[in-house]
Amino acid sequence: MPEVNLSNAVRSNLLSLQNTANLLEKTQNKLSTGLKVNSALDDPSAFFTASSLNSRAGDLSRLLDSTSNGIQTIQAADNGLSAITKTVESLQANVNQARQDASFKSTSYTIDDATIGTAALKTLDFSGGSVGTTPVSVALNSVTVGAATATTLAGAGGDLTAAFTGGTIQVNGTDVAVRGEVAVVAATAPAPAGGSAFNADTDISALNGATVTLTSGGNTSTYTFTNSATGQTAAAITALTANGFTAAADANGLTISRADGADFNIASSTDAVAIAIGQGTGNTAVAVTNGTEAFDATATTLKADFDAAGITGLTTTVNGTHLDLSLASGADLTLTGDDTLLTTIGYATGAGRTSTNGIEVATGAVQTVDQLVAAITADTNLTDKVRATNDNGSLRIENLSLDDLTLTGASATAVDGSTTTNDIGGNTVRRDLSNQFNVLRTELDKLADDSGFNGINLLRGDKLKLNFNESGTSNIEIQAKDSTGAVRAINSTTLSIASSTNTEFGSNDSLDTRREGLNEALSTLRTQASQFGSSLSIVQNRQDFTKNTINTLETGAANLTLADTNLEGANLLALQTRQQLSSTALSLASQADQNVLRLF
Amino acid sequence: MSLKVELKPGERLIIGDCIITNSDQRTRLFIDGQSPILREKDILTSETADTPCKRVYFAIQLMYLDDDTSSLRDEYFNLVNDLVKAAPSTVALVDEINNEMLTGSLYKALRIAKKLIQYEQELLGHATTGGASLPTGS
Repeated sequence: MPEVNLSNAVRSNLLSLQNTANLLEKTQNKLSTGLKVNSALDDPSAFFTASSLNSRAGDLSRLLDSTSNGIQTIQAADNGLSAITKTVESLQANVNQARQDASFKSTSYTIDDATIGTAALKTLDFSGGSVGTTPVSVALNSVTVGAATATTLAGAGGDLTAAFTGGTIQVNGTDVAVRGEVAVVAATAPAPAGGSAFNADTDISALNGATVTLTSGGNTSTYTFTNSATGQTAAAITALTANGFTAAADANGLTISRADGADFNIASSTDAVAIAIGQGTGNTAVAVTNGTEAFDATATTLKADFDAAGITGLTTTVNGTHLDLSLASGADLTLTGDDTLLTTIGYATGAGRTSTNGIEVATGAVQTVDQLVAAITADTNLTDKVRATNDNGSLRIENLSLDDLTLTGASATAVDGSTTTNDIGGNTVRRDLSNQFNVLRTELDKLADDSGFNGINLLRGDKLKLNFNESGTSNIEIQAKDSTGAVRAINSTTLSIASSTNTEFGSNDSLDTRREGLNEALSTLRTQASQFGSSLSIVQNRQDFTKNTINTLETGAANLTLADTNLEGANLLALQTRQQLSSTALSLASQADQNVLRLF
Repeated sequence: MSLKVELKPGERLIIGDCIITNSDQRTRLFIDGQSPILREKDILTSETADTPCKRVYFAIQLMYLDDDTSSLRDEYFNLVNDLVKAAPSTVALVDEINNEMLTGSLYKALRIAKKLIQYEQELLGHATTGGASLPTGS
């Protein structure tokens, strides 16, 4: 076949046609896919920019997933905190209810006087309840020891018939003054001086009418002078020697005495008489006190002396030659003092001077209801544990605890001091509340344990770290912390909520303390919740921003393979105009007005 | 390391929520601290922000001065998405800006936004002078 020679024109047309066919193919391809840039060959830079943007969007999406997980974790912790707060509020309500409750159990008992008696000491014992295992006793009575018997002391020997000397004896320390035999000593007036000679028949008629009188108690003797010149001295002696007085003549006057020793007075009516008898001067009576009266100490005087000592309950009996003594109270009797006198009255030296054979009277009584109430109230070992009141004549015992209280010495109806026991139950309302408290507390711990997501539980003290960019240089760490910045988990221990006990729920003071503790727990929970809340809002903010960024990238990447960069300028101009009318510009302007730019 | 700022006479400077106006002498200031700082030449107002990219810059500026990305976030993304739809080649710069904002460096975002404005000027230049459009295919 000879070569086909093509002319230049034909050749160029052929090339042109081939190119056109090529273009057509390309255009058809573009039309079918809708993308201007189908492969790297079409528009390399655009294609690679788009794919890198797409992969960057992918990275950010993955970051977004972990941020979402982080948000879920924080929300789980937040939900846990809400539930725990409600539980703590329930605990508070429980404690308040217990505090208000006063349904402590009590029993009223009569006092069985007869069984308690006064023969032996009886007590009522409290144990159990809040008292504890060591019983606390309250006396039910005081004890009488038999009937009183007088103490007797019998003398022996002794000699009361003969005269005995006085002295002091003590009966149980009290003095008894015993009078002894006293011999008489005559009372004698002083010897006369310068008087008339009464031993001769002196003329004392000049004393006519005057008198001399001797007095001693009821005894008197007197002589009235006459004007007789003779025989007066003898007459005077005769007259004056009467009623126990003895007047004797003396060359210098009269000697006067009393044999019985009683005191006497010599009274002269005139001075002349006094001179004549030689006793005294003037009208002043001469008192004579130098005698001693006789005293006859006998068994009778002895008994009188004992009686006069004023010893309560002492009876003295003369028994022949000695004395017997008895003391009605039954107290021991002891004689001390003058040894000779004691022997005389029948108590020679030795043990015979003490007697212990009597029995003293003791007053015993059974306690009354009021006395028992006072005793129980005063006993500090029972304060806030047992309350006693007078219930219309019966003893009402209230058990101020949650555990059973045991009374030893009481039956179901009466206090009798025997070995029988009776129980008073504990406060069941408070006991139930105490149990409920512990159930709620356990629930609290379970809630704290269940507040995790994806293996991280912020309430357990775990740390959550969230990255905001692919390299991790921008991130946030979230962990439960206390006010000092130390890591602090949330559970019943860190909230200081210990288990309740029967003792605690039985005491109003303990419940008040518990209430304050729960208040503090609530404020800890609130603080922690607000910390988590602010962390959550930071993370959510970042999440929204990241989502928007991804959206922008995807929009940009898609549009990059669609539009012609040369059109972009025109598009921008159109956008510029459009924006002037849009609300976006308005809101930007209003925002600008609110900040520092308004000053610009 | 303090920031050194030189002010010409009468030039203004924003620090935090205050405007400092210089007197009639050149001044040099050394500034430390966290508050936002903007020189007068870097400040746009709602009147001077009249193109899409300038508006984007303006939004970032407001967020920078308030130190809070959440207040204008929606408006910002509206602007940015419109921009990217109209001129997809800006997406690379926009992504850089977003990256800085995501990590809280608003001042760096502002600097990149300035580059964005310059790029925009180029594109607008194409449109107004009318450059070559479709390739001839030969």
